Amino acid sequence: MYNILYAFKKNYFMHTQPIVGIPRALLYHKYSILWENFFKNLHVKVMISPLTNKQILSEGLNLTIDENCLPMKIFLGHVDYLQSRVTHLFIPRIASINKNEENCTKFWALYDTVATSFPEAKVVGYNIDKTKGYTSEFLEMMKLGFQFTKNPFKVFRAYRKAKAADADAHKKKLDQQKIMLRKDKDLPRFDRNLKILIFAHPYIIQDEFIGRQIINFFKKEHIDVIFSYITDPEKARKASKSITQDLYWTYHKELVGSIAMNRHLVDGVVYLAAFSCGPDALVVELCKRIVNDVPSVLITLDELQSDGGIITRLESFVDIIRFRKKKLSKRA
Amino acid sequence: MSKKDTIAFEDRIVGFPQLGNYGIAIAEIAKLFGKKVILPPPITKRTIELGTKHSPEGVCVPFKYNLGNYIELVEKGANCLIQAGAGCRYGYYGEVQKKILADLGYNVQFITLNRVFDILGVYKKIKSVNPRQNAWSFGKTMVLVISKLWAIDAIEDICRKNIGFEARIGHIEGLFRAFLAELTAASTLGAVMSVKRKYSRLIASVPITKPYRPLRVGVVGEVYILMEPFSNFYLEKTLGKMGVEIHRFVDVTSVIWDSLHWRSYIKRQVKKARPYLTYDLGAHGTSSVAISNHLMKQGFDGIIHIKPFGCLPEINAMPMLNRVSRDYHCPVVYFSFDSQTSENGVKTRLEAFYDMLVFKRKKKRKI
Repeated sequence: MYNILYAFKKNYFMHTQPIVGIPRALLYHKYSILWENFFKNLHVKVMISPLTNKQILSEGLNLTIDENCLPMKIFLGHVDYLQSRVTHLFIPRIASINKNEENCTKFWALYDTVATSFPEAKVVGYNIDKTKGYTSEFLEMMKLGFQFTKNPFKVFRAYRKAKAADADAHKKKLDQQKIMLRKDKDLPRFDRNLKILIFAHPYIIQDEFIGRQIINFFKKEHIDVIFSYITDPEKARKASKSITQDLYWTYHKELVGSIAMNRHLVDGVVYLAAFSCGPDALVVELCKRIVNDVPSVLITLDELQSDGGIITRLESFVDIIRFRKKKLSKRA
Repeated sequence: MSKKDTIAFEDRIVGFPQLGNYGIAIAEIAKLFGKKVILPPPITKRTIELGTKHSPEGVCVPFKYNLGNYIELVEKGANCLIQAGAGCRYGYYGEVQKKILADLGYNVQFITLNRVFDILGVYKKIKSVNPRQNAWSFGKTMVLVISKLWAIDAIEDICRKNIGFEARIGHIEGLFRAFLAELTAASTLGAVMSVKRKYSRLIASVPITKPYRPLRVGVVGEVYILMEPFSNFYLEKTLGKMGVEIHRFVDVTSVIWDSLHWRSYIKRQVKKARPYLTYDLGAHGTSSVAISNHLMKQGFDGIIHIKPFGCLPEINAMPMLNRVSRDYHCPVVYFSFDSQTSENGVKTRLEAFYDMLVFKRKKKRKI
């Protein structure tokens, strides 16, 4: 009897004070501002897992097989870190956000993978899947909000505020990148600063453990880095048609479109592919074959790689670009 | 497609990649794309070597098989290649393969039926490459193709269940080969039906020594690897000959039928996999879980899950299959096939799996 009472009391207080855990992996890097602001405006405590480190990655490796892709392993490591510390795990399922387009199937299965791998955890989320018919982000977020409060106006306001903040932040990033692209437009062509476009998902390049070192390297070399995921999605999707017609992965479409839009403005393209990432293997292959007027390098990231290997390859790539530029300027 | 790389209908020599025994049926539909049709040469070590050499390293193994097939077809003289596309990564195969073949310097017309899920879409595609095609003959051909596919699937299913128990070894296989030869010659729906009826009777009358309750194993997994026996090193035949009844629920007929009403099919599959799934996993990952859940309720002895290396929908299904295995105390064995997988490794693991099934059965009987 006492046990039951104790369990009830514990559950009751847990219910009154929910803590939502958001793993700092995969789509967090894309929707972080939307999600964080949404929960903040609902007055729900949010816990975000720390920056990826070796321990988190090794936990993730234990939870899945070697064949799974690297971002997924990192994601499961983050979930494992959170599950004992929070009451709710926030795992949305974003399967398809545009008509006739899809996301990679690993996003389709995130919810179920976490729910089966951690049976004790309470998983909340929302589901956006346009392959199955009509779904709207607004209604799904409202449904999510009702799990924490009964006041519909509060949820509505939280969603609207979060959406505005998200749009603001995206616009700020876009403007910053635009300025970086055009800042030395008046200088003669060969005096401009080196610019490199990085073809990578935010969850690869923005990750502390796998992608950050690459940004740091370019910063140290005083090279302007342009991220292909920071684009106007509508424009990018249209622009991607000049490279590939049949592509149906939304996020890849944006990345490819950003290459199509910026290929004449940059000096080199770095393709960062995660090991065993399904869509990357095909899309990068096609891009490399079609965009052949810009020097490019493909770097496949996996959990066994040392930092030295990647940096050496990047150094030689940068040397090649500098050499080529010098040669071209002499000829001009 | 620009007008430059199209070839006139009369000059087209159509080729398509190998897929199990279905070549004779697919050839019928390939006839609508061009005057002449070449059957794909059987897959050999050279095919997979050619495919691996020219494809990106991270891609799944069906891509490599198909590319190898295409290169061998072009060497044989084909100048028009067909590729379908649906599901997970398969929908994007066509465009990449087209580019790779163009970069290799082959002057071929590449037709992709990309993400075409209904028969009307197929008709429109054929009409766009062959304007003289009329609906009536297209309909007749489709009926013939689908009936042939269905006949092959039905006979293969009977073979799969009985091949381990025949009295004279090689009897059923010989009959099956004769069936394929007769089916190639059949050119009407009636002829296909009579061939099917004849051989299903013949195979049913083969003397077999089946025990009262044989070991039953279900095979689930990715579609290409399931249907192309070379790519899984004749896994079904090897296990069947040890004396196991093999059940498989995914074949071409079911894939075509399901893709016609994909949304409701997925809904039903998610319902079947209820405690383990709440949403769709993509491609055939959902049905892998649903079928294994169903098989466990039927009291099967084991499950074999096969997939190409790095197949995401099937990797998504693996945690759920682990749960199924734990809940029902039933062995599940996972095979992952790549161009580097060796036949002996697969055989050894299969033998160990069979031994385990036998031990488990004996233990059950003692209790």
